[in-house]
Amino acid sequence: MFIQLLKYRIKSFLKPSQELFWSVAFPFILGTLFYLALSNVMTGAETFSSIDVAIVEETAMDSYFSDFLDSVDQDSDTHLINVTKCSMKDATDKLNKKEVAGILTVNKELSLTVNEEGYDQSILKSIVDQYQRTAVTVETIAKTYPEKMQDAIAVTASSLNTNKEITLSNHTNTDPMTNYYYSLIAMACLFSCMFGFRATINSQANLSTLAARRAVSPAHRLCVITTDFLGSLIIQFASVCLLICYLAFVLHVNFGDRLPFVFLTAFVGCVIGISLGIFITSVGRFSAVLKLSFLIAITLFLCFLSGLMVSNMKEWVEEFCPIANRLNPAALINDSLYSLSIFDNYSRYGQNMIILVIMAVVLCFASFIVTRRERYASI
Amino acid sequence: MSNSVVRIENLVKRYKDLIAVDHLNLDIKEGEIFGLLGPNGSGKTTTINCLLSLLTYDKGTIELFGEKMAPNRYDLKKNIGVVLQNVAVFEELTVYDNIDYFCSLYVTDKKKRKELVNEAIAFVGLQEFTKFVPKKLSGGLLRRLNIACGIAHKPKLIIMDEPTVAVDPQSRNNILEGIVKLNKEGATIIYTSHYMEEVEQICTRIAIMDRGKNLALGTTEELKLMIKTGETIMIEAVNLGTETIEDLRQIKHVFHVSYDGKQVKIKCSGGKHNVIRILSYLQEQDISFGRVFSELPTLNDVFLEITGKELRD
Repeated sequence: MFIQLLKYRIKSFLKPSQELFWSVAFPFILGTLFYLALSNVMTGAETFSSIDVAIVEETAMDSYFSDFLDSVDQDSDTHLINVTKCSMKDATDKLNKKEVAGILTVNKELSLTVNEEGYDQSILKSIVDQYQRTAVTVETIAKTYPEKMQDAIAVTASSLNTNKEITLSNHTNTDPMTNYYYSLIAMACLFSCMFGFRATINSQANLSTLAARRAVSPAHRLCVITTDFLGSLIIQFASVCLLICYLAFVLHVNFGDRLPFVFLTAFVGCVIGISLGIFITSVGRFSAVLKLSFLIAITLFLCFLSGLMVSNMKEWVEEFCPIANRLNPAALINDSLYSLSIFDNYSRYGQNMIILVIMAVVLCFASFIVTRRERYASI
Repeated sequence: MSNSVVRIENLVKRYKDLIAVDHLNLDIKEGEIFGLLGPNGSGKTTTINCLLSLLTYDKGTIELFGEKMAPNRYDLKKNIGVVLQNVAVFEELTVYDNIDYFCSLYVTDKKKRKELVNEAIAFVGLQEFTKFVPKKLSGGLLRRLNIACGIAHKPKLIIMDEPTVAVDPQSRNNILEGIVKLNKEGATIIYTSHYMEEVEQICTRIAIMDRGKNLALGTTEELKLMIKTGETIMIEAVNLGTETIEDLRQIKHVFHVSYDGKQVKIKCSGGKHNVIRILSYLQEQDISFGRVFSELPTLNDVFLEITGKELRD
């Protein structure tokens, strides 16, 4: 009987429905949209080119400024700026023809001339500001502590170098955009609450006639609830696995080399989502439509807090209300995936998983308590 | 004497201050088609839900097949088939899958279940629609699917809660014939409805309920004997004066006379020769009249007289 009931539950869940759209199709659509939107951002970063800048020496530049230019002109693999020395007339022509982003004029003071606003101009201004601050510092040290001059130059020179990336582990994926995909997976897991909702509507006699018909049958209540739960879990977990594969192998989102653990996280996430759906649908005497709306709202809110809409939302929550991140299943799923891709050891991942499992057990138990009732005061 | 299939004693169900079922007693015997007749809100469905252990109740006992009914009495539930008032099927599954699903809640043997499902499909005449999903079916076909889902496992007791609501006359006849057939095959049937003619047509015994109470119980004939009206005579006549109406009221066995200007309606409490007596009076008074009708009381008359009101929708 169990297999037969499970077969039909899966069959009924697989038919096109509102729940199937939100919990299966929508994450795929959103993932694709993320990819299209975020890949533009990434492409922009990858095609970053050196900024052309003209230098006009009205007075001869000192050796310190010359070193500074070398450091930003030939820094590491990419050239931040591309310097061309020329006269003021040539420089102005180049600026007008947009062959250079700005003109650096070396006089008593270093000055920058630009004729439009943009990223390149902002970067040039930042370079000039940085140089001027450092120059003032060096000058002050030279006047006050001339004997420390060599040390000061060494320190300031090192500070002028661009930051160096440090690898934390072999699994490191520091791409901040991946956070959106973690939140997307968390959302897909929590959207399994739709199946929990439908399973509950179909098994509580006070919520539907279909449930009443099932309730008067000789099939054990636990057997019916379990087939509903398992059917929901199988469908949703399979769809989240497909989503992960789609993200990893089609959209080439980097989940590191711990994919089995990503699937494990998704599994626990689906269990929580379904339990949450069953629990919320079971409690209170509101209409099914109202309960479904509430479920969608609460799920989206949890995903919002985990960073689905704003990338660093989770960090803000961590700063102002860290307990919310410990109790928000979406944030926990997100953080579990993040820990897998950042840290070598599993301590943070394990901690998140333990909280998720405890939550799943509590929600499953609570759902069972509220759905096991077989008789109602009114239906 | 037949065994009791359903025995309800002193059943009370309250919704806060409202008494939905008020000290109800019923004893339904094996092989009966037992009609529960009453207007909406009379307590029929609440009684059925208590009977099925879907609802808690405040007082009383319910026994099915001689044993006390409880939510976990799966052994008793095995012998019950339910056709609920609202269609209760999976929208996503086909006709065949729906019947097979509900049958699988009762019958585990796959081969046997296949036979039963095919029999149920043939019984309700849905052979051509086995691959249809419910939303593709008409109202009548949907009702038939609802019935098939409730009876496929061949239960000993079938509870049908207004199965013909919103069904066209053709489908209704089909359903009623099916119910009689099920009964002939050995099922005891509890049939609730607020359609008098249906209940009169198929039920072997009837209980009339209103405001949660069992107002009358018996066969159609027994119920008709319970009321004062034995015969209703209608005579087409014009220009009848108040004096004539008053004289008609004085005729033996006549207890009620009403006149709408075209037809006089006379209710008699029984006895023979009522028509002759009334027509003789009219001839004596030289009152001309047209067509004359005489009707024995219907279940509707019984209901009207017992509850004092028309059947509400």
